[in-house]
Amino acid sequence: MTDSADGSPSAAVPIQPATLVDISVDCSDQASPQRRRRFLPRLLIVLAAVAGLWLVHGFLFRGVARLLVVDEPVDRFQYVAISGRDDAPDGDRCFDEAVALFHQNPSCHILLIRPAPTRLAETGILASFETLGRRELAARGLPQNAIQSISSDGHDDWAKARALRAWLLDRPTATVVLFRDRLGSAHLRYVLNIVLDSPQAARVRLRALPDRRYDETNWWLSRCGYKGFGMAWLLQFRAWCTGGDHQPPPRYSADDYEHNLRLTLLEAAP
Amino acid sequence: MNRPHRYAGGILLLAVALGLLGATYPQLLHAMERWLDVGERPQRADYVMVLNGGEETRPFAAAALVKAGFARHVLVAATAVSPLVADRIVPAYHEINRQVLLKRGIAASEITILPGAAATTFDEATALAVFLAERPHARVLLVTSDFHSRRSRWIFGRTLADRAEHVVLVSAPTDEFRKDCWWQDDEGFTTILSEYLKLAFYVVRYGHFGYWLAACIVLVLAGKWMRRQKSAAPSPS
Repeated sequence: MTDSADGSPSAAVPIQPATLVDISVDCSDQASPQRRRRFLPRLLIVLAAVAGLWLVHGFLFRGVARLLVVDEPVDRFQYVAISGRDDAPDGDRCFDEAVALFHQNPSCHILLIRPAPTRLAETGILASFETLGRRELAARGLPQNAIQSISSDGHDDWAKARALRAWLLDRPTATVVLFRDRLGSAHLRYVLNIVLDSPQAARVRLRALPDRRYDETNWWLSRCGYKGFGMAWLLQFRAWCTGGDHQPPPRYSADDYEHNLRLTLLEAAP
Repeated sequence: MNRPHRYAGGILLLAVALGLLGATYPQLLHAMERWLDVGERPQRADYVMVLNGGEETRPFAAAALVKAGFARHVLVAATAVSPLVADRIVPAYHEINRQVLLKRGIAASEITILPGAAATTFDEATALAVFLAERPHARVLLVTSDFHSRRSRWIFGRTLADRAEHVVLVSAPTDEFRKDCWWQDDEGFTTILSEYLKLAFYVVRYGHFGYWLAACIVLVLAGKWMRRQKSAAPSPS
């Protein structure tokens, strides 16, 4: 609408509504092909990007998983170390692998890194990690005198590294091959490099054992694969962000746990 | 508002938000952990069901509930065979649970292994649904770890539908990491964050996420269409 100089609507050149409608129709008619011209290349770019990502997804997934793997050459070693929990030794088929390395170098020893005892082992429901390790190695023909053990105060990589630090201090020339599941090996190397000093860390070589169900080349194809991948990245992420040693939480016996539970949970006992 | 002023306002807001986050992050992280725990007070029931996993706590809590008189019978779903179980290095989860219950004084005749090969909480919920099909009025105390209780409630709620009201979720307190500073511990960090990831996965995979996503897309498209119509419409003057 045109205004006169004093601000009142001008009556000199009245504009017909039909003219306005015509103009707006023209505008939309011109805008639509423009929009279409802009929209089509954008859609093609998005589709091409999606297709490209789909084509290289295997390459990308392998790439992000390989960052989690540290597998080091094991040419000379005096000890082969196995760690883990009472209910899960670290690294699939670690006992088979340990025996294979023992046959390569019969003068070496197998070192079991005992975790802090779990409630299940304390109550005798599961064998302790040391009992389990000795049993499995003996079942594979390894002599008992080739097996040694040390204890750690937790269940995680930090506890393993602390135990190894104390043990390596007393054996200044000992070289160790340490097993770890494949996608957790970079995290263990990161922890070893923090907890051990450089010469000590160099004396520990990591053997990254693949899970029989998945590894870094196919983890996205199975449920346990992407669970393992996610857990490994969370561990690595924590190490990078807040990485640091910490004290393990206090442990309660089965009786203490039940007693505490009664106090907190079972107050409404009938 | 001109551009420099707008940027200054944005930067100030960001700085305040970061400052608040820095000052309150322990409380926020602690709240994250507490949010996962939706355990209820136990009530009298016909059965206690122990969910597999968390063998250090859950079966001990279930045994305590039975001994306290909340229920007499314990249910455990049979689990799928893992490589360690196949190699006979460790027993299956359900067998460990059964052993704990026996060791804590529950009679073998009071323990029922639900048939199947459960690999997920969803499978266990399905096993319970089958069991309850013939016992529609049975009440069940569901024992799981505190951090796992929200996801369990969601899964059992979806699987059991109307019968979910007969299920009371009881949290077994975890002591494998310090709950007040879980982010400083490998076990706590991976447990809590992976629980959030699993919760998101379950909502996407088994929930109504698809419908919500479709509704959002429709709303956005409708909004765009209305804006276009408005800009194309003739001015009233």
